[in-house]
Amino acid sequence: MNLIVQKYGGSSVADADKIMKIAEIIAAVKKEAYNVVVVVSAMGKTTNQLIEMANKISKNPPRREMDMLLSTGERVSMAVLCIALNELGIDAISLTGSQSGIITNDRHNDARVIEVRPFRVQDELEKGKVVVIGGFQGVSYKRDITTLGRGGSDTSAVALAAALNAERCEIYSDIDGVYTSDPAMIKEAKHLPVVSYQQMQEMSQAGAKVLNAQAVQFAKDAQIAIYARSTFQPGRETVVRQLSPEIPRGVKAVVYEKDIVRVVLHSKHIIENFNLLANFFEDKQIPIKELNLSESSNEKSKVSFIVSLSNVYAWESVKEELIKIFGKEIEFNQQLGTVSLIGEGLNRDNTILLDTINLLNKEKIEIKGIATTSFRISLLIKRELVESCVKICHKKWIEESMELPE
Amino acid sequence: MNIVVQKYGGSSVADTERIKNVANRIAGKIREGSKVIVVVSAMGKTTDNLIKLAKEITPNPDPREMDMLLSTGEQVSVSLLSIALSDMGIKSKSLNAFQAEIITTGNFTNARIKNFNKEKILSFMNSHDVLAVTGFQGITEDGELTTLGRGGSDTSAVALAAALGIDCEIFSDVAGIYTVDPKLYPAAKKVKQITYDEMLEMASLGAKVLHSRSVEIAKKFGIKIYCGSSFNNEEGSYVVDENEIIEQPVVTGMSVIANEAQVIIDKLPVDYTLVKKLFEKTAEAGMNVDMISIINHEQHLTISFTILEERKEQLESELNKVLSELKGWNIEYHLGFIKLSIVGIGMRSGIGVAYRFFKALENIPIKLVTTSEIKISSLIDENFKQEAVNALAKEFNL
Repeated sequence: MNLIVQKYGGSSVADADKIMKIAEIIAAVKKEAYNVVVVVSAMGKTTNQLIEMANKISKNPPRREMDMLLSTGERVSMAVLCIALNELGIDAISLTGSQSGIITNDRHNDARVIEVRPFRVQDELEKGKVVVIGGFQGVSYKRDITTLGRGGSDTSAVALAAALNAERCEIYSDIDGVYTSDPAMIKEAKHLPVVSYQQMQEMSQAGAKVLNAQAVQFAKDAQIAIYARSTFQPGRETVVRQLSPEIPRGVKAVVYEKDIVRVVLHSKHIIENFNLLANFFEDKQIPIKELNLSESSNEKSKVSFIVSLSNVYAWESVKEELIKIFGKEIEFNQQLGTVSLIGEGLNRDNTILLDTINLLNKEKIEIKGIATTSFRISLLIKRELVESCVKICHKKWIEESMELPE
Repeated sequence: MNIVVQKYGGSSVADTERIKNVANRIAGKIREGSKVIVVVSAMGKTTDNLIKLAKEITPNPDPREMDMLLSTGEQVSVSLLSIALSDMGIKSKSLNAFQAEIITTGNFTNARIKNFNKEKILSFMNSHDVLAVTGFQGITEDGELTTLGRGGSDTSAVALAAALGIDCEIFSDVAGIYTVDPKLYPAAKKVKQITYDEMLEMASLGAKVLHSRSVEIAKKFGIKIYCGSSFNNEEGSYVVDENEIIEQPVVTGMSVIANEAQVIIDKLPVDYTLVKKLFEKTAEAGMNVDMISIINHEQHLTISFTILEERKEQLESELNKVLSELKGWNIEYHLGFIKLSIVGIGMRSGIGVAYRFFKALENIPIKLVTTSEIKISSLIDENFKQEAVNALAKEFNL
């Protein structure tokens, strides 16, 4: 029997009524003679409420304990969904990340899935059951509970789809797929029916919340198509899959991230001190991006990088520690955001970059940093300017673009 | 290594401020040079809210899934407590049932602890000053999550203490064990010591201070239980072996269970296999049946017993399984009773306890009385509840 993996996001399981509705959708799929694995997120705002409680207690909650705390959210929704499926006469069983064999490294709060051993899931599928799995969570080799970072339930779903050799992986949320920009911010954002793995990965890494970057990586490695759909408004969808090599067609999407800090270190012994700094972040298991190290012979040399705070629950205390170590040599540019233009071959020539700089100059949006790759141009700006910057870039490069769609 | 086992109930960790308070109390123990294993219940009304959520979907949720759902509550409180302790610079680690290897039987929602991995706990203790362990839950040998039933966190704590051969401190919002529920009888006194057997009677008779199973384990392993308040430092009560009791009043305490029903099944054939089956079914259904009396009229049997009113429907369906084939019998339910009991090991040697009991209740209609070596239970019209409580408390100086 063919297997479908479905994932339902937090807004799809926000209350008992919605869970009941989802149970009905799953029951219908099951009756079409499919095996079904369902991955669920925590109900509605549960995760945020748990984080809030932890922050009331400590500015610096241990990362391991945060994972222990947050992983309960998905356990609640998966158990309630099973109860609902049973009520509809569908035989279902819930399994935690650890019971489903989702093994991760021990980078708590932002762990990577390194292996999936879904023996228990396979056993239960063979018994004809719908298996409901808590997303976002796994277990390390030390038997500690880990979580996979924001959007981590997507990763759970795709990793399971790959390990179980599923026909496809369907990701349900309150949005009917992938757009050229965040449709909640940009009214003019266009729906994309098909997106390549690579473009999706770039978008996710640059902050698009619709799909998690590691999830896309897994799908790409296993060549499993992802169907991003809306739970309660069926109709349109986006398929993320392998596309034949693309002819560069300019900017395909404009994405942003709003919670960025730039860390700058000035030092006469830059390599030595950078080493110390990088190890500090490694120890704290906080990823750094857009590293820039420039040595200067006469003055102090400088190293800078940016940190996304979306999976960092104790930034203030991390900062305090850094100040203790590096004193006046370290500097933090806070309240920043990034806006990224995504598209194959964007740095082929510099026209897009230069036009964007001119345009933003005219609109008095100060650019504090630029990073480019062959698939992306990222601009570092003040957080409060992110929205207008996204609007300007989207208008210029997508709405007014002469590039023809595929 | 000096280890203390403590347990904090739901009201002691009901919000983040109270969790910090518990962390402070534990920090005090650490300063005294102890290491602490702390067993925690779910925060405040969490468990009730989770049950409510499940009942929004169905009145009969699958027990396995209920355990998956309910066991999250304690995991939240242990991680928050561990966060609070770490914030104070104390090396603490939270453990769920899977990590602490609390092995139980497989009967969901009402599992029993089989064993703890003592070595595992001790090895964690080498590198940490506090282990915060989820109460109320365990795992089966197959890795399925289970829960231990209401009040199960007491059992988790006592079982852990028993495995390590040390005493156990249980903290809640009540400052100890009282002769009578202070809500019912404000003049109730706190007892300094109570024996395991008395506590067992009190627990099974409705005093909600300790889970019965925890007292059974403490008795079996000779572990002392201390019950006190997490909100102040008032001296609490000890549950101890009989040999340690210094003062021995005739009656140690009184307990009251509301909403009791008397069930009378009449004109049953004289067939004790049938009786066995009947009580087998009620036991399987987890029903607490008490005050049983069976009268053999030679031609037929009359069986009467008490259950909680809320169990009536369940009882009917269980009885149907056994009696549906039979004819001629009938059943009556009498509702609106309380079960009022007095307990004390002093009754064994005390003379005239029954006389004093009936004298105190002289003006109150008593429906039924049963006695054991250390208790007298009576079924009384619920309208006389307060009057009966007052009279007995006064008579026995409770």
